Amino acid sequence: MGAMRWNKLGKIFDPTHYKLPNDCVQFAQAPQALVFDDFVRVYFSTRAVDPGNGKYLSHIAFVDLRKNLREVIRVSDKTVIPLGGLGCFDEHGIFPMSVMRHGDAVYAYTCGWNRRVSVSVDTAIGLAISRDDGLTFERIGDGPVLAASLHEPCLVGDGFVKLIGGVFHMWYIFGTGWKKFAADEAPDRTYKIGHAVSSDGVEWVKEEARQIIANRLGADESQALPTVIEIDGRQHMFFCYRHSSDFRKNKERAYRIGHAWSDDLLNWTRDDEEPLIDVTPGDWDAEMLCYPHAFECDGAVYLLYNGNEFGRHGFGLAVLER
Amino acid sequence: MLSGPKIRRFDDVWYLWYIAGRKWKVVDGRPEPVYKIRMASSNDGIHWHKLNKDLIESRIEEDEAQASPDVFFANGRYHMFFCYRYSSHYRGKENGYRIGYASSSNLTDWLRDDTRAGIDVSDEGWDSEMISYPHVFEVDGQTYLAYLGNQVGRHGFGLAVLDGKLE
Repeated sequence: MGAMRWNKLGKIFDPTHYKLPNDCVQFAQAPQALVFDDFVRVYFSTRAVDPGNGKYLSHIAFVDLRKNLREVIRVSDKTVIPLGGLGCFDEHGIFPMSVMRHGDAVYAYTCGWNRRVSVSVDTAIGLAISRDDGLTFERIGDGPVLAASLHEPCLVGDGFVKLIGGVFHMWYIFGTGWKKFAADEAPDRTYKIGHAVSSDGVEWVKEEARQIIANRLGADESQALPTVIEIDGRQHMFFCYRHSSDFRKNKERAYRIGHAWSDDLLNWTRDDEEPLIDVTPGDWDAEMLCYPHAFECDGAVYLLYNGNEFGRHGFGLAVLER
Repeated sequence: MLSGPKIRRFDDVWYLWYIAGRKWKVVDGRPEPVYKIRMASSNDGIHWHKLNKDLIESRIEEDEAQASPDVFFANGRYHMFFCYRYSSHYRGKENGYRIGYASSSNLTDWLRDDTRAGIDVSDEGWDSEMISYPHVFEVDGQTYLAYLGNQVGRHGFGLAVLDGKLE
């Protein structure tokens, strides 16, 4: 195998060009592909403004693309999954939602957001199932399947699930804590990538706070949205990482896409000193690269990802060259 | 919401009775919590196995809130005292907390019979509107019930002593 690199194909979806359900107007974050015979459905998180207080609510929508991954067939015009009930873990948003086929159903692992008082938010992972090929999803319960625990005190989210050898594997993130980095700033969070297994996709056993991806930016590195794909017999993980403070406006501390590989699903070798994909000066992804999702379609391996401003203006695509 | 833990140890097994939030019910624009009594068990007091079932049948309404389960073993049976209230307008006498009772021979199947709680609000005084958060304990051969009165303990707690036997 030669050296892998992602060849950028440009931004492929801009949410401001379409009418979106749930009164959403901007953001197409954390794109996640579900491949059909003759089209590809890409779920993303978009945002509406909460009329109660002007804060954001994240909703799931999708766009169906022809298999050239350029032409839009349609954008969802109905609610794909409603937000959680009053006081539930996913009351204020779902971002992201990771999908996988399982038998005739589509399983969706949701990252549910709920606002807090001392810090801005907490998250947990829920499971919803679709029996109509991913048009709509129904929760298996109002609570989460993976949430904070003894050594993962907050911010469990970003679940990505694959069934490998009869075992459900989940890669997800857990918060290690919140910290006030500057006196005049709100507290910022740090999270790391962890791993859990399950025999049914519902009951999970965590490795409990074992950080599986080494830090490259020190202890205050945040790692998010793992996606795992097998390429030539080896498991490859892509994720995004950034500094935990001053990462929103400072491009040097903003998200980049990281990479690690594993041959046993337990030990991961981080390998992104030379990035497989980097920012493009002057372009829509000049300042940040985030929320990667790798998938295979008709023999090619693609990467969906967001650029500047965490995906406010849409997502782009790259194809793997090796 | 998971709260109100009460821990007991019977036959070398740890039991945790707790209340599990079922939903928030909006009453006159204000979200009010509905919770039910549940149980988990453990061999070490740290790793817990949830039974995942409501132990106590709701009696006064479907959205009855139940709290403060306290289990006491006496005369070959397990006795649970707890408190319950309506889901709305429960901050006064009419819909406020009362103390309920259930018994079991195996800790998982409970038979509720509030007529056997043996305590009610007083005609007047500190516990004339509500009685809640019972705790049963034994001292020197006497069985006592500590509990809260009006305004859920704002002004302190009181004590009752058992006449007769739990059976």
